[in-house]
Amino acid sequence: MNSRDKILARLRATPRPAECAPAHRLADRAIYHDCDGGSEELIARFGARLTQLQGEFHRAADVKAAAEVLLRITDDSAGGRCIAHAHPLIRSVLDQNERLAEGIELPDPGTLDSPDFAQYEIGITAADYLVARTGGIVLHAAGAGGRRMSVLPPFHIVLARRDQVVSSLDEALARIRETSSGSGYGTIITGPSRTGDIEKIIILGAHGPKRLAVVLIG
Amino acid sequence: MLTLTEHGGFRKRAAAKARDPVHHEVIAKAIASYEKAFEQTRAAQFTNWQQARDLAAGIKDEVLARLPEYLEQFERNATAQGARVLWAEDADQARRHVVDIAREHGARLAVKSKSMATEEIDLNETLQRRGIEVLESDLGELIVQLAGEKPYHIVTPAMHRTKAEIAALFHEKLGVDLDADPQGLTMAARRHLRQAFTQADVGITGANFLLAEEGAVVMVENEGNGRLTMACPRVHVVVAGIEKILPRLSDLALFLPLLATSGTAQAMTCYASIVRGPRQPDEADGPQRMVIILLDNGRSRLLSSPLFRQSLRCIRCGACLNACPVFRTIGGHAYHTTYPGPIGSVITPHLRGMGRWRHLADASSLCGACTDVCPVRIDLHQLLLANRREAVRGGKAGWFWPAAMKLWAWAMRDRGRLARLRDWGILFERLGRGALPAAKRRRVPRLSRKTFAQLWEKNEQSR
Ligand code: SF4
Repeated sequence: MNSRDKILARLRATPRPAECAPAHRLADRAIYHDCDGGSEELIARFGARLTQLQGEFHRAADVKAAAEVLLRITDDSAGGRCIAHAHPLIRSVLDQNERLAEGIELPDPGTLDSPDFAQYEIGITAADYLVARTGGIVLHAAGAGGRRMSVLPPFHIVLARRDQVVSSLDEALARIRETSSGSGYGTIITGPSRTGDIEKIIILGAHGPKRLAVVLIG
Repeated sequence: MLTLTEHGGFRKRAAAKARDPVHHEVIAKAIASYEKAFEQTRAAQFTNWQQARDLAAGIKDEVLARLPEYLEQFERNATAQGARVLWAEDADQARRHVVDIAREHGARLAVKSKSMATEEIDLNETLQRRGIEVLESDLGELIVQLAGEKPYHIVTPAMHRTKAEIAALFHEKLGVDLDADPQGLTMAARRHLRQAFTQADVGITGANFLLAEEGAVVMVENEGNGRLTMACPRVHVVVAGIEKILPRLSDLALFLPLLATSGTAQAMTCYASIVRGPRQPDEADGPQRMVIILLDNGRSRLLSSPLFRQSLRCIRCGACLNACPVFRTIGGHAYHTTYPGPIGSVITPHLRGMGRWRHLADASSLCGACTDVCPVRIDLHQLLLANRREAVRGGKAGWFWPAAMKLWAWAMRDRGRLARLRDWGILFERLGRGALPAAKRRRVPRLSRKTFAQLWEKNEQSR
């Protein structure tokens, strides 16, 4: 017998408790404070949470306004190189403003394996969902320029549409399950990278981005 | 050479730390800040924390009841995603798996994110002996690695270090300014490790959860080093205990907030990553290979005990360590175990032998503070009591406790005997109370000069 079979045999040999109650799970959701309301309320909740976590929250009425916001926040990042994922939403924003489009590299998705991300100051990606209750950003690698673009550059900017805001983690996970079944890597980002490992003092930008901004369009 | 037994060493280390005022102050401050934040976070998020604990315990129990099936399901689904799943009965097998993988890929440098399972199997020492450099990337882990120590705490490994000590350490090892503040120290660690992430051949991580239905590895962290470890090197190796299973993705809606709240007093950790296999066809980057090592190392033995199997619900949040008056007093290093504090004292004798580790069951006041905070409702103090019982029954407890308990039982059966025992005690007090070892450190309480019956009578009269 190999070790796999030995371990499984040992586990099988142990007496099992007669019954367990699996079904309830989170069906009633009575354990968390409610996070309901119309989409405006959810957006406000998300923005407030993200800001509390020291992320930045920007709103833009349309792609044109989003381009202006992007120009402003990338400008004050002192001329560092900027890379973006060629996602349709990001393209449509960059198309609005020539000066913006010039300053941002938009490599072909097929070549994203090669860039040395250490060279970049800013990474711009899309996301799947924004979670109102926790201020979380849910993304999967294939939809956000890979595993590295959202973590290596010190400033991560997320572009999203208002219909991507969901109330709870529960809802976000349920939707992920329906949509990205084959995807290899997903992450839930809740605020900029931080550490409290030295005397519990919170320092931003431990290994991941020190600055995190969400631009919500619509 | 004289080597202390585990028990003797434990007593010595514990006694030394208990009388170290600096240690006391550092730990008290860190835990006070955790406790305050914990209460706030919990209240802001949960309407019903008790029910959340019930749910979590229930889900974990269900997993444990069907563990072989869940593990097979996990293996199937992870394999379908292109990961390789290996099994390890003990630490030695697990180490050999990792070494083989590293050799197969000609690895010279491995970068690691925080993982207690790899601490459990002493992985770093093994790899380094084989000529593979290992860099810890979590800030706390890096601090203890540079200091040549083991983690002090399962969640905050460098909890016992002051910022001045860390500055001195980084000054010596990384050439950082002696007067660097936490900000400067954190940035120094960031710079130190940046290159390593891109140069390392292998990234080694643990897992907080394994999702059976998705074949996914879930890892939570705050710094981003875990994400870099899983994204940059060519090979991603995961070492995970077989008890880490959760049935499915939706369970994370409970377990992520629960772990973050109990672990670091956050509503959510900064990053919760869900990984299914190496780089997929639709992905732009990521490792070419992913290997998941499922570690038993005594867990199946815990599972086979109807009483102790509940200890496998543990999600390693560290809350019971923070709550424990003994841990706070003697510190994490006194235990000499991978898992210190109440949970460590419960499981270590079962994982590594009751004979050498039975004394850990005495490292408890049985106050139950650990049980009160445990997010998966492990009856920690009852299990500590059960360990004491097991040690005595198995003849592993030495002569003192069995003899003392027999004397006690003898006396309790008869009032007259109890009174006589007290008389002996008073005699002993008069003769040699000052000679008790404890008398050097604290006031030894005096036996009452009146019996309960005498006190009762007096009370009745004065009514
Ligand atoms: S025993 Fe409970 S409180 Fe202690 S680390 Fe495990 S889950 Fe946390």
